[in-house]
Amino acid sequence: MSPDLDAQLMLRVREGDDESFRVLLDKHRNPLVHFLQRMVQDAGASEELAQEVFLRIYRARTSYEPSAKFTTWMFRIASHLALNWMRDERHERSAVRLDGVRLDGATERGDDLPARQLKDKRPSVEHNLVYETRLQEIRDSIASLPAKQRAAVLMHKYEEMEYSQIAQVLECSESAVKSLLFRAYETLRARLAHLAIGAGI
Amino acid sequence: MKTNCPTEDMLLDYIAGRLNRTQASLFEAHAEHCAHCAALRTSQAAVWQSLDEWKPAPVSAGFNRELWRRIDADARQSSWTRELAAALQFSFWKRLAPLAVAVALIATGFVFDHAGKQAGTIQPESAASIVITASEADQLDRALDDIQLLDEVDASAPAQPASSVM
Repeated sequence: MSPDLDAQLMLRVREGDDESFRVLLDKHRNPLVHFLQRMVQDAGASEELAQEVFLRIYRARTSYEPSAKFTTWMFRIASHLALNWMRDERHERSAVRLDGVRLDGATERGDDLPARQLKDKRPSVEHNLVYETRLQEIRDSIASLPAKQRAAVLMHKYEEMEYSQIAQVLECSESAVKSLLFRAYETLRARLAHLAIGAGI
Repeated sequence: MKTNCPTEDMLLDYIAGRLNRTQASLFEAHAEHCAHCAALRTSQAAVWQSLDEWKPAPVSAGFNRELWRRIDADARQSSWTRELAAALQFSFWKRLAPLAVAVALIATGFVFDHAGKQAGTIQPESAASIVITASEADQLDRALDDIQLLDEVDASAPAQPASSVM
């Protein structure tokens, strides 16, 4: 088993080396914020939650013991915060959309499309509309999943985590994680099947 | 899924590209002859591809700056609470020590006083002891009267010969 370099950095943070914390922050900031963006589907809240995760990690530095992978620990804190946020803020989910800000953080104007879109050869308005509709369906499909299934899918798909690591993050057994994923993907297959047909998959 | 089909996690791992070449070949060989697994593979691949389209928004440029501001504020707050805790632990309790001793003395005095009063209120037992003493005096009087009566009887009776006393 290769040594967890992040844990080594965290041990240096424990000794008072803030530069090592900066290295950890730069390395994990984007994956963490993106995970939280997809989890809570609120651009502002996801960054606030990510900051809270790093703040808690920094606060806990003096008592840090590398008992698990650093990323497992980090995503465990993030999942807890996201699940609590979703529980508390469920009734305000539509507020961001009413402000004209898309759930992925960009505005409704076409000039804020992700970088991949900008590389396209001047996509037509119709193409953008189709793309937006597809994205909205994907986001809605993920949002329709129960919170733990959602977290499991996002960690499996985007963070490429093993079942065992997802189990550690969600504090359940590996078989429970597989069960969560099977049910989640079954729902997604049913909801997104027509997109595959439309895209010619 | 049929009993001879690969497990569902194998399907997920196949689509995620996490199977080694041998395992992937085995799965593909099976899917060629199993319509159920072939359909699952197609639909799972569609889900996978759809999720790939969901690109996250870039993180705000001021993320790190805001985080360090929060860390500094947290550290300041922590030091303030530490100072308060330290003050409470030493000087505050040090100043209160004479008062605590005084309170302890008063409490001790109260306890002793209360205990003394409690001891004085055991009157029923004392009264009983007086009653017992009175009855003993009566018994003594009666006993003395009996002795006196016996003496009078002895005095009125005729004298016995000395040999019979032995």
